[in-house]
Amino acid sequence: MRDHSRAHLADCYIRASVAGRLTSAAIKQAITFPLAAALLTTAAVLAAGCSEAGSEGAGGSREVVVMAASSLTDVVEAVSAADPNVTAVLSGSSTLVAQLSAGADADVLITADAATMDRATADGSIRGKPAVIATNTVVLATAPGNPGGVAGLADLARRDLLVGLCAPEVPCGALARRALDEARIAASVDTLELNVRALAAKISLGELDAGLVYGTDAARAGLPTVNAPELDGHANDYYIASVSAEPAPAVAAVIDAFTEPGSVGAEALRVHGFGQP
Amino acid sequence: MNVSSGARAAPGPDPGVSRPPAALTAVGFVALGLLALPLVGLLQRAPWSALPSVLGESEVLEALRVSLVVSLLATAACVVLGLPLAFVLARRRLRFGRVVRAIVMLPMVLPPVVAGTALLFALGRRGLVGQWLDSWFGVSLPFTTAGAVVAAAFVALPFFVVTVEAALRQAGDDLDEAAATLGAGAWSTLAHVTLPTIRPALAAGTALAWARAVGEFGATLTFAGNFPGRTRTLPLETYLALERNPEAAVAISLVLMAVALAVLITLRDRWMPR
Repeated sequence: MRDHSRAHLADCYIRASVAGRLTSAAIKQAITFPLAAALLTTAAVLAAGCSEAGSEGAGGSREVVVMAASSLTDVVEAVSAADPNVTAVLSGSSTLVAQLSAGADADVLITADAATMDRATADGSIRGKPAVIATNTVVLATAPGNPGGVAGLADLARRDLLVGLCAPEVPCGALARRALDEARIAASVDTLELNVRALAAKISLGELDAGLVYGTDAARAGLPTVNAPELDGHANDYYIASVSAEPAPAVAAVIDAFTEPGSVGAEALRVHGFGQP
Repeated sequence: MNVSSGARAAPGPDPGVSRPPAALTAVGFVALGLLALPLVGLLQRAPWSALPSVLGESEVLEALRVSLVVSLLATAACVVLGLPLAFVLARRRLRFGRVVRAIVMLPMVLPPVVAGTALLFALGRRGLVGQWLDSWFGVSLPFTTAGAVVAAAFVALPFFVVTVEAALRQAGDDLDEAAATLGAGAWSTLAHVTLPTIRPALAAGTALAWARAVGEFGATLTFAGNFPGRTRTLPLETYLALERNPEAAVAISLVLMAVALAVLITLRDRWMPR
């Protein structure tokens, strides 16, 4: 539910009347073709903006924009399939937080770790109280068929392998870095991908030999995994929060769909292999 | 296209041209505002006093070095490969000329991330050609500086080719034929007649290709990945800095914008017909 949907409607009305006036002016001015063309173009642009706002109001239901970490793609898709008013924006958690702080229009934020959610609450983009909805761990995934012969986490230091991690700015990268630091492994990294889905894709294409991705993404991409006990005990908490301190009922319902046991989102989290908080 | 012939006419419209209708002018200025606004937005957020220290950060300097190496090598590749291609397009009757020209211009209109994906499937380690590069020569382009050069050259090449081809067509081949009648060989004609004639276009095409190569983001990220000192160029650093330290992102953006503006203003002044 957008706080300014009322403003949208008012704006729509103004746009429509201006567009109408421009069109009639264009007809009167039809002799001077370039002017008429310019007026009609402007009218069309105004009307286009209006129809977008109008369709939202016409359905009687209001859009709820959910920004979520890209590792949650399937889960959020399950929720938006059950509730057509949910619009998903999926990207790396840090990108989402930066977008929100720059004024992006959203109602709910779900990040893949506490650090990114803390950044959003600290700069005032998030006023609701964050809650943990799931946990996730990283696994050592290899290209199909494990062509590099990766046998353990220490192999990430091999220079002959093409190794990818998530960038430390995004949660899966921060988690991978913590685990590698603790295991005292100096990985010979070839790329720091900006989100976990991009990393998983490059491993599954065989362009990278190995990398640390979320267990859920490895399973989704059907990537072989190699046992790495050093990764045990390292997990991320996924946080959900409403942008507004007092979320509208429709927004609260979407948050409940992730937090309430047995709800669509909670069920999807379980099915896709996320851990219980 | 007069380059060095004495004083140039003052810039401005030809006095013989009639003024456009007032409303058209007004909309034109609205469009100008739309184009200029982001620049103003950057300028008002610029951390002027902190600029030297932000730009002196080791990450930024490293990205600057990668950007310079990658963009200059990509530009060199554009000249070496693009010049022959421009000659083929301008001077040979091609069977499927339209299709060929469309293929040449494709990277100009393709979303760069599509270009990067296509490069991955062509030149990646498991790609169409890449698998042979890997098994025969042990060369794997993705995630290397060479890969970043390939990505930048791919998107910048059409800018050079299109500029030079247009100049070759405009120049025609009368002078070349005259040189041939006077006994000059093909290579001699090329070096002493054709290339000097199109020198302004060569410079303009090189500058445009370089500017495009410096700004490359999507294809680089997709094909070459992101690693500091190897493939992380200034545009990638800007994207990451926006999440880490927005001040640094503004500072780098300012530098990139200043470079692009300098290239365009110089081009307009020197080499482009008014």
